[in-house]
Amino acid sequence: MRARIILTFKQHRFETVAVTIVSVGLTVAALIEAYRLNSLNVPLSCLLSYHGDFVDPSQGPITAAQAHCNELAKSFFDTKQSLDMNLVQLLLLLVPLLAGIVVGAPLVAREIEQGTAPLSWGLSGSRRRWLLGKVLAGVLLLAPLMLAVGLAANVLEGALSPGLNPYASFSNYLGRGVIDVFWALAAFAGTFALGTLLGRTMPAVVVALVVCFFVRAAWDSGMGHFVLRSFAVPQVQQDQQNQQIGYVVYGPGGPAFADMTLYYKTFIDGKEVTDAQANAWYAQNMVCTPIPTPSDSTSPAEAGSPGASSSPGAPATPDYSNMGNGGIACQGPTIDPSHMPQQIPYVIPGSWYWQIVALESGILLLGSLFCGAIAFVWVDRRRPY
Amino acid sequence: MLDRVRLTYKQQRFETLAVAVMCLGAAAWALLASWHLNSVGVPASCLVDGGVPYWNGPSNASWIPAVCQLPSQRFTEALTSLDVGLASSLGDVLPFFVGIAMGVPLVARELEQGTAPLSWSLAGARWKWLAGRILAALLLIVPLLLIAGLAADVLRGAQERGIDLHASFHYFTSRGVFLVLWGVAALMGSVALGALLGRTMPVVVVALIVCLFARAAWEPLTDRYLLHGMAVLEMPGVQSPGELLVYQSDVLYLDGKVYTGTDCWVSNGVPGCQYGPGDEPDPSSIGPQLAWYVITGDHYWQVVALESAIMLAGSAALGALALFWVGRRRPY
Repeated sequence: MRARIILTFKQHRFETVAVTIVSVGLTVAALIEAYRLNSLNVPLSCLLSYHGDFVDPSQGPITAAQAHCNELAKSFFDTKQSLDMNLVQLLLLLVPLLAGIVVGAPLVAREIEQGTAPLSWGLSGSRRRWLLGKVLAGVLLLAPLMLAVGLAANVLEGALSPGLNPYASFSNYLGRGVIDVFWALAAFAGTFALGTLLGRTMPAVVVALVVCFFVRAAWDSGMGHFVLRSFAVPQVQQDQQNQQIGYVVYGPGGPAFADMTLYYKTFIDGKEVTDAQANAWYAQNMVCTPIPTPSDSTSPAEAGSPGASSSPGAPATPDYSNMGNGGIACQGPTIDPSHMPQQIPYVIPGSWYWQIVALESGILLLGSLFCGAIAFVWVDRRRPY
Repeated sequence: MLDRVRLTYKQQRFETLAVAVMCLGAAAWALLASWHLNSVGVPASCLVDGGVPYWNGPSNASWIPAVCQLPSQRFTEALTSLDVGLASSLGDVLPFFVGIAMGVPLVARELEQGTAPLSWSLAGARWKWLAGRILAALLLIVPLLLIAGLAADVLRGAQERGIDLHASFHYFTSRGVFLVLWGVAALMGSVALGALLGRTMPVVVVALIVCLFARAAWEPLTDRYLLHGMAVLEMPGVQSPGELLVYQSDVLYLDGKVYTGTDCWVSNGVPGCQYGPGDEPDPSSIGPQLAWYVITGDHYWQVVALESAIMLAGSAALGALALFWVGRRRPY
């Protein structure tokens, strides 16, 4: 078996060397990018208070201390949004799938295509044993390389979202860590199964690329809809505050959250209502009375003053007035805020990271085994050309 | 030549069918997704600045008039649905897939399978043989990608109501004629790599990596080197629909003029101010701000023509390299 594994690496020299160079290079690049971000030493408070280069009118001219903080934060976000960082992030997402396809496509298909399959199968005694040796070689190549890539992606994720523990957060969790190994194995198994069925390299590559694209794109919503939905729990108030304070980094790159939000439920006075019922409630109670916009008003402070109410003399109510982009201005109801519709997010808490990763890795592994089984059955039955 | 074109399609039956199915399928999908978005039926009176207000849940919708809340919610749900999301990302993937799938086997497979010596001796001239094959690939992918590109235009129009697609730089390199240009560039690059390397899988791997880098680097590089000189200054607070932000100024502006006060400065692209007591500006003032250099939407066709010319020149250079190399290389 050892000789067959070594022979497979020799037969697929280009693929072996290419996948190794790309994976090791990507691992090093991800670690360098993480080091670049970490070496900026930007305080979390500066990242939280940064709102981009453009100072919003409501913030007014900023002070020297805030400007220094902004300067640090800008360096961080400039690095985060730089071309090299985007390329590394994109490659971290794609490399596990591409590596699986590149190694898997020629494994069986090339032998059949080039007409060497009858000789190989004749010499090895059993076609299944022959395929097992080649598959083992692929797994031995891919598993350690993808583990290195996944761990480097975890380090980079920690640097990209300071304050987030990559092992207790679902931010970008499908593109980093141990799950990278299972993506690569699934792509590998699917591709060599296709190669066994089709017996041609290019068609196997083309079909595998299309299938992997759709599976990867649909995985998030498919898992959220069919598998994880039943595990979701209501996010408690404390967690919501943590999301806002401790575990969120807002910035031009967008927020990163520890919890995975799957859906929302709306409650009125403790009773669950549908979106249509909540909308009906707002339509009934949130009467939009046009009020002058600040630009039209002689006194901007009056237009948006806190506690403004559509009913003069009403008890103190929270300010629900807001400005639309087109200058639409509305005022809210004069009722107790505790009777307003409450939206509760249903989430998978970040602390369940390992359980969810184990579940999704298990599903990917099952899929890989299924594809592998098809290949092992088919290679025994098919014609060797 | 006609026979050679037909023979190419026959030889590459799988790739020809796969490319046709993918392009027509993607176009049909984009049109269905547009229909999905248009069928929401958002009344014209609900549009804000020409666009549908984004629905962020009932508790964040108080600024949307009640009659517009349900259409806004339905539209946002359709916009963020999986089918619309996938259809809109196809524009970034499809042309490369098509170009690589058609281009890789054109030369590399003949060399790999050892049929090149026979083909070349029958064709008379190697360059004529390759020109016929490239022509066949172009005749297939150009109309197919044009259909997909126009469907991507229709989808973008449905996603962003109120924008003039041909006077807006929103995702302009992922729709319309750019799909054809990317596809042709990927095809020519793959053919050239196939002629150089002479093996199918290595060409697929290298072409994928090159295309990934080219696509990711295209916009930053064109902004920096090509469009830099075309951009015009736009004062802070001013915005024109569909404009392309090219780069940011390094001086501050206030009320349409360069700000020369010493109490504000720019450091590392961030404005900061330190006012003396009593010198603070009016609270309603936004203070000195950085401006952007932009290309307005009415220059859309000039920018498209310029970038198209560069991509076509690059594709022609790659094609010439392939034609030159195929005449010199060993046939195995």
